[in-house]
Amino acid sequence: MLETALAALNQRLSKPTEASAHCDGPCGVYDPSSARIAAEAAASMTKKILALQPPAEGDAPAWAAYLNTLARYVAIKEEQAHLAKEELLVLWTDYFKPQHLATYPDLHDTFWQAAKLCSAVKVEVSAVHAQELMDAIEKIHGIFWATKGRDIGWYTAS
Amino acid sequence: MPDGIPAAGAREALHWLLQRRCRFVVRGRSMLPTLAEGATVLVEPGATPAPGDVVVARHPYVRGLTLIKRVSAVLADGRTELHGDNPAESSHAFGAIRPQDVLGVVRSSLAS
Repeated sequence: MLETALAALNQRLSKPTEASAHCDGPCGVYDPSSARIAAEAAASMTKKILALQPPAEGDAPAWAAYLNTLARYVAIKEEQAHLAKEELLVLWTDYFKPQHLATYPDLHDTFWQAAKLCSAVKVEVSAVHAQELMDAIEKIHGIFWATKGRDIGWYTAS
Repeated sequence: MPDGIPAAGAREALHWLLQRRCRFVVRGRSMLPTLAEGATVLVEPGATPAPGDVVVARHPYVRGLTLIKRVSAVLADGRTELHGDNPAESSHAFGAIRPQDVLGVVRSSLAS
């Protein structure tokens, strides 16, 4: 009786606010590829900076071009290294859950070291650290896809 | 089997009358079998959630999206971890929800 009355009242009132019982995330899509692409770009810029040859002394237009190119390489390296770090932190803090730690006890250290390598690649011009960052992301790629029970081979764009 | 949501009785009706309940309508299937799509629930605003409660909460990243989920754990700092009841729906973690983003606890449902 009361139930019917309440139901009738509910029908007559304006529509209530919606509460979503859909899947939780905006998408729930995670993939270490985004970090890998950013890290690859930063590694590529590192190599290009190291390979740049300064022009002859007194050649003003050549110097302008050289400095312009160098500045662009540095800016992109900084940006991409930072992006790689952000992508790794999202993966680390949003995707991975406590139960993954049981299987991968060095998970935190792996991400921490990888994030530190992002900083090193950003600050330095180090081909060694750029490669170490790629190796760290390859390790994370392996762990990530193993937690999903999928065998996704490692690949790079360059 | 998760706890069901009781149908609103006299007590809930009184709370509602005294504006101590807000109505929400469920969209989506992640709370099946507890709450079907289109179900209307009465929510106690500002109630402190306990594990096992079904709550209405603001999505931490998606502005304007209101979620209805079950509390799986309340952390030491007061944040809550939420999940859906429907094992057939994929559920990705968005991390723990801050207390100020929990809008209220579901107390009853209204027949439709």
